[in-house]
Amino acid sequence: MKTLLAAGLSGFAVLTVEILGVHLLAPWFGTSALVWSQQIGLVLGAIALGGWLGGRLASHTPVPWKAASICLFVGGLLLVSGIFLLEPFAEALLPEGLTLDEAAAVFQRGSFTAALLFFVPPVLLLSMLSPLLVQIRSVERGAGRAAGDLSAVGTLGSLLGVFFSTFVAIPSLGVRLTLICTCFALVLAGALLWQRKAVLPVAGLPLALLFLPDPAHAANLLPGATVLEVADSPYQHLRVIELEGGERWLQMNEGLDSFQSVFREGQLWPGGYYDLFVLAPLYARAGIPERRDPMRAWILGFGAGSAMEPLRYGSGGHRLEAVGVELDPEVVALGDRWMPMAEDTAAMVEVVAGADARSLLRACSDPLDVVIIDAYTRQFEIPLHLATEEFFAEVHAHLAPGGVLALNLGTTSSVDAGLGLLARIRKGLEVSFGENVRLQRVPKSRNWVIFARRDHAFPKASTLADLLPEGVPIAVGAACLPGQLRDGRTPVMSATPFTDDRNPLLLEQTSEWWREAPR
Amino acid sequence: MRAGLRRLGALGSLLLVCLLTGPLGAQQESSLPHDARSLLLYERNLESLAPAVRAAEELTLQRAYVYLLAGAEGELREEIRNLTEDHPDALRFALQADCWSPNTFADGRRRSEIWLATHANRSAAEVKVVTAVRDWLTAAEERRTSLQEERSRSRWYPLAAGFGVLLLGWLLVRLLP
Repeated sequence: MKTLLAAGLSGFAVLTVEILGVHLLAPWFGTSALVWSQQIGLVLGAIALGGWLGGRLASHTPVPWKAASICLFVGGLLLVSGIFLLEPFAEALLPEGLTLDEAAAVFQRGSFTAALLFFVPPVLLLSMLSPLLVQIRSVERGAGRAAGDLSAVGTLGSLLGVFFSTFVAIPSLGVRLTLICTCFALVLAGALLWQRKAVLPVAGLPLALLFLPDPAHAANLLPGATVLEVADSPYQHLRVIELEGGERWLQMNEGLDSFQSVFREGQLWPGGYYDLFVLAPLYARAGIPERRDPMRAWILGFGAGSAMEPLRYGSGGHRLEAVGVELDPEVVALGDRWMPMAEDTAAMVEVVAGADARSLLRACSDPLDVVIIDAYTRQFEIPLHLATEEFFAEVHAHLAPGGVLALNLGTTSSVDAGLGLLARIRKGLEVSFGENVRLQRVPKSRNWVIFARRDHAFPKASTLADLLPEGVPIAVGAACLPGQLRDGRTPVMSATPFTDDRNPLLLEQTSEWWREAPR
Repeated sequence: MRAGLRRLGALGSLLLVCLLTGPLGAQQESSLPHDARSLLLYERNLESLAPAVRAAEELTLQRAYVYLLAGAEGELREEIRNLTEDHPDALRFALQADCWSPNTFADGRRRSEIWLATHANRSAAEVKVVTAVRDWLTAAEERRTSLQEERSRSRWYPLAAGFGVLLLGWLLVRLLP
């Protein structure tokens, strides 16, 4: 029975480390797809190496129980030391004032090294356990049955680790507490199996970390900013910070100088690319004689609702009925607490949290006037399925004639080049929207807002002064000048759109990120 | 998602001061575009002017100033090209726009040094602001240099950590009973 318990605990701990390890790294190094891939790869490597070493050890050790208990005990201690040392390691590695644009290389190598130092050794030790336990159990039950029993129980422990981590630990206990409790269980189990009273008090060591503040709260914090609230969701590490001037940002994972939503108390315009969303309802009405009332809009990637005020302003006197779709309910909850919309604006939007944007859009039966796409995952990655020509075709089908899609795209690729994100997404839109595509550069930033209109051409840039109401920030006007605006099809025929079947979006974004980082 | 703007925040108020001490008087200042609509109307009015009037230096400077204020980089660079390269205000506007992107930090610093070397007789306020911009750009460049060094160093971290893990494995085999 003891062997089965040890195998189950080890399996549980390994998968918990694999999943929660990434969440533990997130506040410093993010959780890009590459971070996930290298974490999974390193853990699998450690399992392989641990199995090999454990097998060698099992073949010659006269005291396999003692070796197994030491593996559990030391594995737990190594893991808890990793939790403790991660913060000083990250602080030493990451220069102060680092921006997201500059962080690519330091993040990739830093997260790889951190995983190698802090997660591989404990996983390696825990993986050595399995051959030792087989050795012990096979004395009574034979090698085949022992291996089968232990493999089954170890896998069940792993299964429990996967589901418990995602659905119970992160939302209820938190990443850090779960890992500390796992360490405690490992060290305690190791000490009990070792049967040496002297090591038993050490089992309490992991619990000492509970008395220390969680350093993740202030990771990569901008100078002068204060943290208002921190939360972990199954998707990401989240926090709301307040800058010196009172502006609030909702940040995910590594934070740095970027945000997912922005809030300025009592101010209509959030600034940046959000302000350009004022143009979407204006474009949707241009040249359409019949009055559209209510004006229907969907915001995919709602966040804390920063797009709502510009959208409302652009709707003018029309009644606005909006639906905001946000995958992560914790984002919406934080937004409600710290970045509340004005009451009358909030009354215009129904927020659907916990749903995938593309799936939910399929259920929409009313023709829409505006669809805003501002969905990002893991900080800078556009979800793959929200950038394909098939998805754009679905949006096109849901738009009323003259209706407008507006998409925020952070990229450094050139608008006039045939390669890169901008050209490929533009091409994907052209498949459904034809010539009716307009790109507008957000002043003083790397972002573009791409508009596409169903069945109607965009109003000429020279006539936009007649469409715009007074009081719209001057930067929106700058985005309407010829130097910041491109109309029509991409000039390069060789550009290919992303499709559901073939989608190198992630690699393109990552390589762009690497190219821009200081060399 | 937006990134990279925060770095300009501290400099924002400084740039505004710089603009207000520029070639435009307070009276002219109040008649300039203040929102998106007025900017586009301003642009439309310009289109209706005769080419010779449009090309006048004072109007070119004014347009450059407006585009700088609005953040219309493409138009701003175009206007600056229409002025002589060492025109003090053209150079000043250009170096201010260089603060918008890390790719132009080096150009901006070079321009600010040229400006300070050749236009020291300009008003004290302008000199002060260009000095501040130069210092900011110098610090930004130094930070990028240190990042490059960090990036070079970071190549070795995974190797060192990997070696450490292998050493641990070897020790385990040796030390475990």
